[in-house]
Amino acid sequence: MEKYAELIVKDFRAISDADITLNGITVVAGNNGCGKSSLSKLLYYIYHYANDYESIATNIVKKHISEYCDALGTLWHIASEQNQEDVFLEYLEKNFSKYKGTRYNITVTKKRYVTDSEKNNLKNLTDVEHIDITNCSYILFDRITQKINYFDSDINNRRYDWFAEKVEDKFAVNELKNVRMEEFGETIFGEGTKNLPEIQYVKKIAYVESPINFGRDKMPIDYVNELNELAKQPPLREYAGSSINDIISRGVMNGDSTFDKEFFSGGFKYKRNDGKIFDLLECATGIKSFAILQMLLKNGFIGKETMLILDEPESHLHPQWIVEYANLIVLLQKQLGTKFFIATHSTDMVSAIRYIAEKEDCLKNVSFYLADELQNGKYSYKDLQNDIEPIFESFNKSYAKLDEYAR
Amino acid sequence: MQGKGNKQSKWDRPRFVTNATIETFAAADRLGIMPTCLVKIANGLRAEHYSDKDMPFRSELCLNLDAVEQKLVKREHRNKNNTVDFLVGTGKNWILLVEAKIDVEHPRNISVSDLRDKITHSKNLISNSDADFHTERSTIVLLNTKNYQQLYRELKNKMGNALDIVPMNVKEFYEEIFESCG
Repeated sequence: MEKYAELIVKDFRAISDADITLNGITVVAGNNGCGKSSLSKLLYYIYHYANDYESIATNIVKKHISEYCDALGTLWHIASEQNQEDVFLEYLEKNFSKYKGTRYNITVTKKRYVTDSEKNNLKNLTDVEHIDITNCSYILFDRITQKINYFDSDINNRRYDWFAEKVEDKFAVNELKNVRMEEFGETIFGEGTKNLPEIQYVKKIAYVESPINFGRDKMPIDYVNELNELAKQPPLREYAGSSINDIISRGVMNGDSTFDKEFFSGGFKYKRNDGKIFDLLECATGIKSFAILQMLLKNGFIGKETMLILDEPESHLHPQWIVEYANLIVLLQKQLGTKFFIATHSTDMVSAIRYIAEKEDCLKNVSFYLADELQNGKYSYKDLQNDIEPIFESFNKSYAKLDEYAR
Repeated sequence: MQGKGNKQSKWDRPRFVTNATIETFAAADRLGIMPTCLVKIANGLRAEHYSDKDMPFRSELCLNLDAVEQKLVKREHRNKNNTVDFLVGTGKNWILLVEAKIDVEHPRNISVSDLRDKITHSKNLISNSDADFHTERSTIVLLNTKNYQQLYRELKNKMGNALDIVPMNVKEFYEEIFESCG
């Protein structure tokens, strides 16, 4: 099995050890509380922030220069009071024009009122006793240029700690000490890393959890909001995988889902093939599961460089639709190269992915993992490759329980 | 949640003690057919293409119900009914129906109604014995070892989770009902 990307975890929450290779469709099964969702979130945040590096880094630099930009706003006000606004604006134009169209896109806003404390702050920053427009402007621009030059090399070298802090903020202190993520043999997350490599394997990522939360605005979970925004993107006239959408709209949903901000409800609507239109958020939860896939497919989000993290995608689906969903997963992987990381409790989902992939001749891109409970209550993730028997053995404990209670 | 090593037994009923149980049962056949149909379980499993390499059974006997039925058909000039494959003796006076589906690769090839019919016919057949024996409510269905867990689940689902159908593989069957007897 080729190792495109690998997530290596030790002593993280309920997980004792896990070495998960991502090579297409990765299916993880195990008891409740074995750490499947923790792995999913870890993977999501690593790839989400790694691909958002540019804006993370730019925001950090902007934060460092913000006090100088604020002081320039104060100075602008004073300049206008002293009838020297022209001098100031000329300086502003001359010095900031070089940043136009760059990642910084610096803005200075003239203050309507200036307090004594703001004036003192300006003096402290420029290290002067009396505010002189020309002198202070020169000093503030110089400080900003210095900061930008200083951080520019950090951004160009993709300074690692800025990215790592964003990921670590999502977890408890020191939780990620023994977590390592590699792509093509290069570490993209893990202790000792100095620079974040360019991300190759997964450039777009979405976390698809329960469809119950789908479409609801301002949820307290960032990846739910992110998914809503992704689904709101308009469809493309032509997109890869239109034949897969035909399966969804004709074979499964018997209709089409779209986002229309003018629509009376949250904007998501479901148009049935007989022409009737419904508020998608009021439709069956199973319909929403397919609608999410459909909208992401039609607007071009789903593609070769995309990873979809599906947390128990079988929830709310009739067993027949679980198999339909598994079929779509396999076809998206085979035809578009989309990557999947799936946490599941469903034997139907596991066996459907396994056997449909075999029939579609892409089983080599599918791997299964099972969380094995250790004596200390923690879990070790076992690489099963294509052997789903141990997963069934684990799920079949339900029959022993049924015998225990019902026989 | 259940940790490793806490495997729950599937069989909490009387277990195999000696061949004497099934021999006594067969000997009480008023038609005298059953004693001629006692065979080694190992031979019965070989007929189902169960590999010798994995064979746990040595000299344990069972009653080949299919052979009993064939002999009865000849004697009574009637159509043959399907029966489960064999009968084993457990405890002092219990008998247990066993259907071997070792050749079956997929549960879709197991018909629920056929299995139920086989169980009914088998119970009729064993009533020919005058021995004072009890028939276990559960029937063991022996499944292919390869893909066993998948077959197990699919069979259970197909049978509507019926509690009287107990799928096992041969190794489990031996360990649960024979080995533990000491």
